[in-house]
Amino acid sequence: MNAALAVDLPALAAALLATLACGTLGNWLVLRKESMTGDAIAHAVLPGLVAGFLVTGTRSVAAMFIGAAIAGAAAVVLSTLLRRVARLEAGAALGLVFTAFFALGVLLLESQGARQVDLDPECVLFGSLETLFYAAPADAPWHAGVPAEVWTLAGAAALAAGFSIVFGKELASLAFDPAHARLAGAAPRFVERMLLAVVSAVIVASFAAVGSVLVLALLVCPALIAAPHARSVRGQILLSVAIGSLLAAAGYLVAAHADEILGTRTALNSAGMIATLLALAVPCSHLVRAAVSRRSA
Amino acid sequence: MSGGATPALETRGLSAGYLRDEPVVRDISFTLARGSMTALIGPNGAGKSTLIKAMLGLVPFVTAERIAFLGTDLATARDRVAYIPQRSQIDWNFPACALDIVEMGLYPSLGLFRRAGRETREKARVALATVGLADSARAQIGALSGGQQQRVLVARALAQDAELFILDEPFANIDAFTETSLAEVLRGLRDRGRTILAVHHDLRSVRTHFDDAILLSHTIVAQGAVAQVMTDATLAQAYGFHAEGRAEDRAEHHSGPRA
Amino acid sequence: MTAGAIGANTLGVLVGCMLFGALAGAVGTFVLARRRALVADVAGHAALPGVALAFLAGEALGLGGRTPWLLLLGGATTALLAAWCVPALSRLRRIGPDGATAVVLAGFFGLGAVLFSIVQGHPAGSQGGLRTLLFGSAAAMGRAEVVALLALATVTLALLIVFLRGLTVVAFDEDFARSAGLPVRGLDLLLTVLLVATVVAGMQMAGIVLVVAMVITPAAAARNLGGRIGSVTAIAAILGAVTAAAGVIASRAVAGVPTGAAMTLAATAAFLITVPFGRLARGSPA
Repeated sequence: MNAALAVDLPALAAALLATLACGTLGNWLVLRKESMTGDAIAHAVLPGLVAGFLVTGTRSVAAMFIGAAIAGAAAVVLSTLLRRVARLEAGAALGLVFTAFFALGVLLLESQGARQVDLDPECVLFGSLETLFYAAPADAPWHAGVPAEVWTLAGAAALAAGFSIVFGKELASLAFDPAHARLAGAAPRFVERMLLAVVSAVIVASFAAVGSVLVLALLVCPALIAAPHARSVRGQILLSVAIGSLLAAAGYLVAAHADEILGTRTALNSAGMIATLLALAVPCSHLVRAAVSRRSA
Repeated sequence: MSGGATPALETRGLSAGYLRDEPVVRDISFTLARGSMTALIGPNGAGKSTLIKAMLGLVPFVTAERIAFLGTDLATARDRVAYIPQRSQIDWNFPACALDIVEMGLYPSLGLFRRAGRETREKARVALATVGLADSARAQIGALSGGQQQRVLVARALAQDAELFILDEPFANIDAFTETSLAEVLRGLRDRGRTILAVHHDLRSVRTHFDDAILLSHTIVAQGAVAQVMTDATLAQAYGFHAEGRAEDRAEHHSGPRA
Repeated sequence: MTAGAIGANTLGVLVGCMLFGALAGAVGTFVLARRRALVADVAGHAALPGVALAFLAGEALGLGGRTPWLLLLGGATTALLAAWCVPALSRLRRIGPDGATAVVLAGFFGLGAVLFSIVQGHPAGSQGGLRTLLFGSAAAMGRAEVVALLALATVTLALLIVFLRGLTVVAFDEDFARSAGLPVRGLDLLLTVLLVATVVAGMQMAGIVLVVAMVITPAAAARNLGGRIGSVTAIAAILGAVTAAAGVIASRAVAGVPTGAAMTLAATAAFLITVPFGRLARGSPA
């Protein structure tokens, strides 16, 4: 395989799969007005991830996954509890809980035992898309050379899409009118808990490769880019994933080849570049919408 | 109450609030017969919305000797009870058309895994037609007028085929024409044996829209037929002033001081 | 470096961190009352692109990348810009305050990550670098940094004390403030400026990722203990100073622990201890 492709393809695949996974689920968070919950979970999963490693002593994906999902869900439940017990507004409760969890995670990471987790705090923030590459196996089938992160992300994307398809009608009804859906829904509590668990799982799967900044951007921005143009929930999800994928691919390529394209000394952080593009696209999309409706009016 | 049928809604000794030991409504007991149409009235801050949310389990601190929906508990009667929240509590920019919202009333009957199909869509259309919105089925909900939005929510409850309709301020901020047509829809439901309980703040239109009323000021001041409930004495007790004419004006301006 | 110099610097760091902690606690009380907690989070993260730009500008101008006042200025500029973007964006249909906060945070921090990678690729950036800014490091603070922190924190604290009454009225009774003819928008802007100054002052020590914890957590703990506004602010300032100092000392004692993480956990512990008092004290509505 071409050397450039061996570097670009796995990273591109990871970025696009993360867009599919986070972009899809993000629509539910945005429709529920819980955008910052994604940010909180992205920070809060860290101690669970490290604890999963410390308990099992291996970098077993399953253990870290379970630990992180528990931590993410616990943080959200705790912040809901704090709103009642300490009478904090939602934002303050979220901020208090996720900084505490994240600090604990950083502490664990920097402590001796967890050094072999092979995750430094900087990667947690900014991701490590740049380090993914395809190593053509000598005497194994081709897919043996695909980095594990890509497989994990593929699983996350399948989970997010499957969950949104199977529970789409309940999720839409809960987002539109929670009081009504909680009274009359088929299994509202179950679906809300599942959403929390699936969001946690997808965030965990994504953030080792793309970092917490890009996880947040991917959860929130594609949905908000699509929102002014969408006429149905399904339309919003499809549009958000389509635009998000385009921007993710563009952002990755510009950053990874910045030395050639922008004339910088080195390649740039691609997760950050994608996040910047996505965030910029949100107001642009709204301005386009406003201009279109002015013209037609 | 007619015959031996169980009442549509029965509440005894209910107290509820958002803080522990600080009930907004106290010692509430009332019974709604099936096929009745009742307004829940009272000054601002009297706890009208809190009371209906408390019965539906949407308020954190509730104590009651008995709350029975259609003769049973809420969990069992869930799909036969429709709650229609205040229009202002809903984000009307939600990406959906009127028909999508009405279909949501049918989701519980579909269960978790069945998807909405042609049959669901047809039932939703019928419900929309009942509230006079057949032509707006494909309109974005954000583009509808306030009264039309309110009727979409009623249609969602219709599609659910509920027996008891609990509405929070259905007539708030809609024009006079829509108010009349919405009232007709609700009376049509009553005539088909459905039970209606609506929070209502406009004392002038209680008589024209409703048969019965409950006058609330943290506790129940009076209940029964509208004419019996809305006397000078009871209104003075709830709103803190005398002539009904003045009471109407004050209630209109959302500023009735408490007795 | 002589032993005496180290001692003076250590003292400076301790005084600086307590000053920052007190400032964060006091400003945090008003930020919580105005329901702006997550704006503090945005401001912290949004300082990164400014700091990275300031580093590159400092190198280009021959001042050196780690010129403290330039880093503070750069961080404050982008943090203020981000704080302004949140309300501007939330006015757009279908975005709302929650979405706007998330978008601005992701955008600015993403840009910060890009610029950060330029700094890391810079010959001067790879060694001195800005890595310690992410999670904070009291140990990495030089004399000039301590002086800059002390100056900024003192000025901000002075501003806070001068405008304390107006801020109090706006934070706890906006309607009254309006009817009394107070410039509510001006005071809100002042609060944003104070918040950004606090966050920037603390970023070397607490780190830009976790500096928000020192704004939220001591103030939330103080609300559990105090009843009146004045006493809540004072308790928050004291708790902030004490937990910041505890964080600095802990991070010095245990190698490898970033100061920001230690401070956050100290403040969280203080909060957890105060929770039961809050439940007992609260007989009346908030």
